[in-house]
Amino acid sequence: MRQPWLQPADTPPPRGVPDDFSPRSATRTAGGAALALALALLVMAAGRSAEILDAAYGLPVVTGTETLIAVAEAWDGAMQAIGVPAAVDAVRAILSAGRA
Amino acid sequence: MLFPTGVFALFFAAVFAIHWTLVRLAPAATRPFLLLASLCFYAFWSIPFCAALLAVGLFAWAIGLKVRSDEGWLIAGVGGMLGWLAYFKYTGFLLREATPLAVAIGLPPLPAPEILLPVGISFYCFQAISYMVDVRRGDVAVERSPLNVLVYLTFFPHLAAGPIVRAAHFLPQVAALPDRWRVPLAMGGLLILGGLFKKMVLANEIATGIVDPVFRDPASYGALDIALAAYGYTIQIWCDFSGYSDMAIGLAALLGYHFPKNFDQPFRALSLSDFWRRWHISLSTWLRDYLYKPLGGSRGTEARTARNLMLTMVLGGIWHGAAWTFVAWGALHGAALVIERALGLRDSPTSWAGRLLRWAITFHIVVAAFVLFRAPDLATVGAMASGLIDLETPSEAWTWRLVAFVGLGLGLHFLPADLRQRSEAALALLHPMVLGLVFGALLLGILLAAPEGVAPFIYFQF
Repeated sequence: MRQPWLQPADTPPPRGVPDDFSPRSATRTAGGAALALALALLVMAAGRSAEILDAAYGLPVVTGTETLIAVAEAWDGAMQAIGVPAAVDAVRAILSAGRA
Repeated sequence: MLFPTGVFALFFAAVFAIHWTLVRLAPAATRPFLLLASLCFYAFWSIPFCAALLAVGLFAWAIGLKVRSDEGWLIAGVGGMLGWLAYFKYTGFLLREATPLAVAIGLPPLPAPEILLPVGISFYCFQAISYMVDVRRGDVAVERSPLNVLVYLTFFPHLAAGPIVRAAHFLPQVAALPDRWRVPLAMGGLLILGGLFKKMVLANEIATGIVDPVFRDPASYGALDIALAAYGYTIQIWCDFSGYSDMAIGLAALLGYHFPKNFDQPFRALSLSDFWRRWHISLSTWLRDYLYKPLGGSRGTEARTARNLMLTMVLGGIWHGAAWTFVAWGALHGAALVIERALGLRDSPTSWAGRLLRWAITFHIVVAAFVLFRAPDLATVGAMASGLIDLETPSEAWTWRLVAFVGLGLGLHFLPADLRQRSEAALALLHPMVLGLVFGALLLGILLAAPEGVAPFIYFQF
């Protein structure tokens, strides 16, 4: 094994070549990492519900497309109901201020 | 498939879930699955090139079986890889450049075929060479099964634009099973978010705001615009490429694999040799170990060392693409390294004024070289140079926002080198649910701050 985060914490770092990781890098179980990843994607999906809906409308018409569009519409509707798109637009306007 | 897209996010989520499930329930299927996932990733660009990639992998594996017994196989293998690379990258250029000569001696103009360049060809060819040479040198065991070699060459986080991972570094990881109890979540997440910020916010904004328009038609822009475009491109390429590398390293880490660091705050270098220890480290060390040292390195006379340096840097330039601008970029770096060596300037000065002066000289050589790197031809370089001293044309493209972005990109180099480790330690205290929400909010913030659309990564063309 060469992954530095799998070495004991008192292993000296490799000499000469810089590295992003070290034996001291904090680790989680794959399950914990999956939970974090899923929640991060959920937050992103909440903020991008309009883009997801646009993408769903652009899908080729095959079996299951209508279901996907229905899910995307329901998701976007739910996000609009709690005001997420408006908040996202406000943040975007602030962050893009001054852009030519 | 580009990293900063929704399609890739879904792809990675699926790969992550299936990969770790297989590690737990069906370890033998882990490597075939990674190969399949990587081929799917590559197939988004071109299905025929997937077949070519597999052919290269099988070729390297077959040569690896023979290379220990006879050096001739190594020459054939390396020659085959370089020939493959040369066909795709240099055929059109060579035919175009040879046409005037052919016409001059009475021959008809040579054909100029349009050859599509497979994404990542320069990277996977160098990795295939690394495998064959490492086996020959005894740095890595001969792989009897082609599967490990194919996973090594095609592993999707590094496939399109590196880092160039050495066979001796990666194959032992492929042979072992990743530990599902120890996934470096905070570190991987921070690398991915940092890379996304550099690419999506800084690189895209600087590219669309000043660099692309000025390099397209420098004669229409004033001196201030041209200067900002030159500095801007230097920051853009760092943000773009190091951002990609950071994402690749972070994604691989989330799957349990380790890639070496590829950038180490390069614009704080005090000499060119220091710069090359910090910039595209996986390429510079590859060139050092597989080209510079076999040429003789610095073991001979000063003249021989200078020749080796120039050859290595010019070939490094040509590796980037078939254009005189890349040759000039490599030659400028080679010449600067030779001069630096001749003047004994490789050590850092002790006084702060001396350090500042050396930093400024090094940084501006790098900026000037990147103008060569970015310009479509040498005429554009000339137009940029003359535009810098033209005070008649008004400068109307630059904005304080763009100056701030360029300044921020440079300023990131002077943050403490261990900032990421300290941030990681703080994040390690959080529950995975909280960490996921924090990462999600940061991810969303980066996407909202970025200009519309995703520009391709600069190094995809190499």
